[in-house]
Formats: sequence, C-alpha cells, structure tokens
Amino acid sequence: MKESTFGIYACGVGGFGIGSVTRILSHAAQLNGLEAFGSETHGLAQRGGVVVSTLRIGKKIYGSPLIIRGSSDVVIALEPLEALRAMPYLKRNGTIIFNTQRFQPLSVRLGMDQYPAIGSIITELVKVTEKVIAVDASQKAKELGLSESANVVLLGRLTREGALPFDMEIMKRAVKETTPPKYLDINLKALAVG
Amino acid sequence: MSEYDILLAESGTKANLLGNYAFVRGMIESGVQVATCYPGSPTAEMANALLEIAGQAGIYFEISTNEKVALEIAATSAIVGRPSVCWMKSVGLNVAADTAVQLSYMTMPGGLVVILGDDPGHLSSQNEQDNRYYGRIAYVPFVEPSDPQEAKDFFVTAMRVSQKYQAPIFVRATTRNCHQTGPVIFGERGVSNIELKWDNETMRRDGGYIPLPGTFPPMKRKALEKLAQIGTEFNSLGFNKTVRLGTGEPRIRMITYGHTFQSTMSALDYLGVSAEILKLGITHPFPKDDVRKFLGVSKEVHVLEELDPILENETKVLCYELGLHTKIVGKAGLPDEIELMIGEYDPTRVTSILSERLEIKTNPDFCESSIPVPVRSPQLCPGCGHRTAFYATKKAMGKNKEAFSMADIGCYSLGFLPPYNLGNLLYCMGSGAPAASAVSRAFPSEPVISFVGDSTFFHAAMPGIVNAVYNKHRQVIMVMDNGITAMTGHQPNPNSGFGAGGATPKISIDEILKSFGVKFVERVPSYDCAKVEEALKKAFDYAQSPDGGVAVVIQEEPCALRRSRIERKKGLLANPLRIDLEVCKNVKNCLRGFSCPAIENTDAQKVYINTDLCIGCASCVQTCPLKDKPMKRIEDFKRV
Repeated sequence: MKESTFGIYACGVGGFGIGSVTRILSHAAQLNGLEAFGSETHGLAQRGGVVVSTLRIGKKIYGSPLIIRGSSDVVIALEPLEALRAMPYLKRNGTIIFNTQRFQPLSVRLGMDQYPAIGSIITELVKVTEKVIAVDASQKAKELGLSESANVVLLGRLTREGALPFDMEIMKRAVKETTPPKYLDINLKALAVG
Repeated sequence: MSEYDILLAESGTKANLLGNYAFVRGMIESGVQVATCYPGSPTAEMANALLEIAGQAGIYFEISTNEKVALEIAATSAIVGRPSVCWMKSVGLNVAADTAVQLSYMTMPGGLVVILGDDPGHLSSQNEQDNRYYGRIAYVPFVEPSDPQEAKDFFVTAMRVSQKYQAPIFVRATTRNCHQTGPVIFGERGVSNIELKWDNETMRRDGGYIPLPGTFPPMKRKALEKLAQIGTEFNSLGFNKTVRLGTGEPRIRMITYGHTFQSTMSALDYLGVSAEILKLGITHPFPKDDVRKFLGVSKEVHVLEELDPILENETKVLCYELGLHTKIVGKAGLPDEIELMIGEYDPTRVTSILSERLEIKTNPDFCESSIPVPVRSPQLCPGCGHRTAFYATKKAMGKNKEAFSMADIGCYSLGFLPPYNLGNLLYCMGSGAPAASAVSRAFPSEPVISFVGDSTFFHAAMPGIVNAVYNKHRQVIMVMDNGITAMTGHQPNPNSGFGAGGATPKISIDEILKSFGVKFVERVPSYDCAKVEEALKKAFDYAQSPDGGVAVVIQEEPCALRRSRIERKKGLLANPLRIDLEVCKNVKNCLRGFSCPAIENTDAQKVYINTDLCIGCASCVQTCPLKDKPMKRIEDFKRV
C-alpha cells in the first residue's frame, strides 16, 4: 500500500524566505498535476528562530504534511547550521542543499557555543548522502540585485541537478506565477544562475 | 491584487490553502456577516486575510480589545440574527471563558461558530492546554477537522447546524491544522436570509437571555437537550468515518481525530501495517453510536489522542455501559503515561508509538549530527526598540536585580533570554503588574518593575494597574509601546491609529494612566539609552518616595521589523553600520552586553556587523564604552 510521495524539508532562520520556497514548489507540483500538502512555521518562532516548512508531493497525498525522520528526499537549508539541524530528516542518498551564508545564533554571539566550520558540516552530512551541495546563494542573489532571491538560486540549482520531480520549464512557470511582477525578472535569473 | 483574492473565487475553484485561509473561505461560503477576534497564534492569519478582504466578502470584521470582548460581539450578533464567527488562540478561551460558558443558554438564530486554535507542542503559547474540556463545561459541541478541505467543509456544516439549532458550536483546530497547506475545492458563496430581529418579543424567547435563579433551570435543560440533538445530527452527517488500510485482518484498530489522524496515516504507511481506524470529526458530545459500532467484538482498541486522555476515558465509560471487556489502550497505566500527555503527535512520534505497541522492529534510517548543533532561539529583531530599553533597564535596576522584573505576553517576553534576563515571572496576558505588586510588598526596598506591551495594555493589563494604584503598591511599569501587535504579525490595536475598518483615533495610554491616578508617567524614546535609564531611575525613586506609588515609563519606538520592511520597500532604510577595526578595542560589549543579532563574532574573534541584518538604527553605538566609537555608518551602500 506504500504510496510514493516526494518529501521536501525546507529550513532556515525566520524572515529569510522559507515560506516562498514551499509556495513555489507547491505551485510547481500542481502545474505537474500533483497534489501538495505542506506545513509552515508562523508566530513567535519567526523572530530570528528556526523556521521549518515541509512539503509532500504525490499523485494522491494522505497523512500528515509533516515528514517522518529519515524520509526527506530533499532538504533545502537557507543557512548552514540549519542544514545540520535538519540532518535527521534527510533520507539516505537524498539530496541536501544549503546556502553558505551564516547567521549566528544568540549563544554563538555570546560566546557560549561554537559555530561549526562549513567543512565539518559537510563532513557530517556526507554520512547520510553523497549529494551534498553548498552554494553561496546569498552572494549570487546580491549580485542579481535582490538578496531575497537566494532561495530561488537554491531551487534553480536543485532543478539543474535533477533533484526535484520537475524540470526547469515547470519551475520557470511556477516562479512566474508566484512572484510579484516587480521581482520576476530577477527571480528568473536566480533560477538560471543556481 | 492581494494574495487573499483567491479566497473570493467562484465555486469549483481548486486552490492550495493554508488551514487558516480555508476557514476564511468557509466563512465566505457560510454567508458570515460578523467576524471578530483578538490576534493570537496559531489563528492570526485569519485576521490578516480579513484585514484585506472583509469588505469584498461582505463581512463586518473587527479586531477586538480581547477575546472576551470579541466573543461577546460575535455572540450577540448571532442572537440578533447575523451569522457570526469568533476565533482565538487556545489560552484566549481562558480570557473569554466567562462568556463562553454562557453561550449554550442563549438562543442564537444567526448561528455562531467559534474557532479555537489549540497548541499541542507548545509552539507559541504559554501552555498546551486541552480546550476540549471547555466543551464539557460550556455544553458546546466540538468539531475537529484534519486537513484544509475539512477545515472549510466542517466550518460550513457547523454554521448550518448552528443556525438550525440556534446554538453555538466550537471548531477546534490545532497549530498543525491552522498552519498546514493543502488542496481545497470551493463551494458556493453563501448569503444569509435570516431575519434580523431583536424586540420585546424576541428578548423573552426560549426562556430569555437573563439567567436568574428562577429562569436558569429551563435554560440549562434546553442547552443539554440541544447538545444531544446536535451530536446526533453531526453523526448523521457522516462526521465520523471508518478508514481501512491494507488487506486482511487489521493488525491494529484505533480511534483518533484531527492532525493525529493524519500522523497515524503517515505512520501506518511508513510501517506498512494493516489497520482499521475510526476517525472522529465530532468529539463532543462523544459519538457513542459510532464508537459502539466500531468497538464491536474487538479485543483491543487503541485511542490515539494528543494531550489529555479525554476520548480514552469516554471510550472506557462506554465499554462499561455496554458491558464490553474490550481493552482500551490510550495513555492510562502505560509506563510513559506522563510523556504521552506532553507535546504534539507528529508522524515520527506516532511511528515510534505504533512500532513499539505492535512490536515491529523498524529501524528508522536517520542520522543525527555528531557535532553539537547550537540552539537557535527566537530573539528580538535587529534594531528592536525593546532591546535598547532592556539595556537601559538593566543599568537602571542595578547589578543582580533581574529577579525583580516581571514579564508579560508579547515580543518583549524574549527579554528573558540572555544577556538581559529581564522578565522572570509570567502567567498570562496582563499578569505582569499584579506580580510586581506582590513582589514589591514582599521586598519593599527593591527596584520592582513589570513590562507590558501596548496591545497587552488594552487587552488585560488595565485592571492590574488600577489595582496597583488603588491598593497603593509601589512599583514601576514599563509600557513597551511599538504601536502594533507585533508578535502575531502586526495587527492593529487601539494604540495604532487604525483598525480593521481603517483610520481611528489613537487611544492615549498616557491619558488613561493619568485618569487611573498614576502620578508619574514619562514617555521616552526607546533608542535613547540615557533617557530611558534616567526616566527609570526617577521612576524607581518616585515609587519608593513617601508620597510615591505606581510610576510608569513608556518607551516608544515603532516596531523595527515593520518599519524596516516598509522603509526597505520604499528604498528609505538607513545605511547599515560597520566596525572600524582600527578603532575597535574588542571590548565586545555591543556583542555580549547589547547583543543585537546584526552584531556577530568573526572566526578571528573580532566584532563584525552583518549588513544584511543591520537596519542602521545605530542604537548599538551608545553601548560602546570607548570615547572614539568604532561603529561607522557605511556611506556608500546599496541595499539589495
């Protein structure tokens, strides 16, 4: 009876566009004739805390929009430490992509904790999968003139790697139909440079 | 064009909606005329949607001063014939409880549906109370949807049944119901044809609306009779359903509901176990007929429910009544009974519960990081005025006096975190001032202070402040005035100068305090540490002076998150600052003592300002003890 669903776990720090990652992907799923169930973080946690969105995509979804540990086909992290925190959700041989731009949590700024080096984060992640992608998406997004498009840079890269159940044409349409006209041009470029 | 316009689309539209927006669509399909709330997670997004589209939807919408007021507006609208809805967060029902427990005694021809946002998992509330108990105190039916489609459909049916029986109905949603997205197929938009009526005849109908010793028994009788009738009606509408998974004899039979049902389906799919599940859509009154049929001749039935064992106990009582010896496995008597009452039942957790109970050796194939992952707690935003005010408060209070500061509900509850550790006792909305009163009585020579935001001030803080004046308590209150209800996503309050219906006069907190008899009221700019500190020192002195008493310092600065978003969009946001390392002596007070999230520690242990986060408020400059300040505004900077 196992249904084949595709699980996406997107995470980051409050206020950096996690919500739009799953909105674009959910729209792409619908353009592909698939159903999408998702969950989002709202409220207090958004104030610089950990934000997680999940998405399950398939022909017919039933069950929770949340993802069972070890079952995410793709993990998208907008911040390196959050990639490491998401590690238990990553499926063996799944794909994890993260933005290398760091945002230090309070305990690190206060000198109570150490922020792990990017190299050791990658060393940890490769224990689960070889498909670990680190991208300075924030830098690429800034070069395009819109720092908020870092999330779309990551989506572009994932699409190019074939890690998502959609091709670039569908992703382009999904971005077109979910982005305000003002930012559309940049977001399409972000998809391409990813 | 607003992102909420989709909610006004025609019948047959299929859209992926957030649970909260599905409820709003349900309101539109039910012909709701009156909608009220006080914003609170996880229900706040309903307010955001209606702030945009209430007019087009033909709904009178207001953000009331608190949940009790909101419920009274909605309930009374229903009494005079207007289809009405009120929603609130879990603990909001405690505030509204005085009214909520009276609802079932009233005849409400317009129909009243109350949406409750419960919070199993304690994601954004001060507790994870199980509001299903309120249905039992108030004799109000409880309907509990799972996915967004059900959220809309259950709402529409609940309103129809409420109108038929002229009685209130609660729809209970959890954080996970409110904040999940899924496909929703739209029905027709509804229009109410219920007559508006309130006159000398209607005011006496069905025993009237004044519960007195003589009139009360028939009112209660009516409430109890209606409760039973509505239960029967919901059961006949198929709110409860039996779901079979897999083939052959089911390995497990379960009763569950809401998001726990969704988690159960995910877990069973993961484990590959055959099962039979009774999914309850109505949980109060307990659907005895459907449960009796499901129990049948089973030897064992599991009740899977988050929080308290309410359905479990109801099922056990039913077994007793029926003389059944079915073993009911819920929480009671299990080794992990207490743990089972705490937190959310997400699919990972349900998988582990079921694999243990079925003795399935699943090896969930996941890997934890072997290096420590530092906690990332929420924190006050970069440039938040509360932070500067807290910095000054700590100085004004003196060393090791943090314990004498009392918290309240709002973003400023985060003052509790290091490096401030301010606000160290918290019950609920408005509890700060009374807590401070008690502490100031016990420790009369200490600098006792409480914090309260502008929205919380109007919501529940005023009685505590009046009490402090009336009973001559000596304490300082700091009003954290940022002009908006920030934590739930920037809804307006009486101090904002606008409401759901547009511009409205700002209600002056200063004038209110003066009218209460508070003799010391000083308003200071939050970003100016010296002024805040000076005002507080004067306030502490006043509180303890012979003629003193309550002193209030109002620190004022618009919510930095909201302001910076607006200014960013308009290209008006000030340039960020940088640290001039030639000047910086690495004292690190800006980092460790002030701790704005924009100020980071580099790998070389130097201070660094993250220009993506810095909103250019420059309030960190005053926290540097050096004469020559190393924080310099970046002159040539383009924000992207």
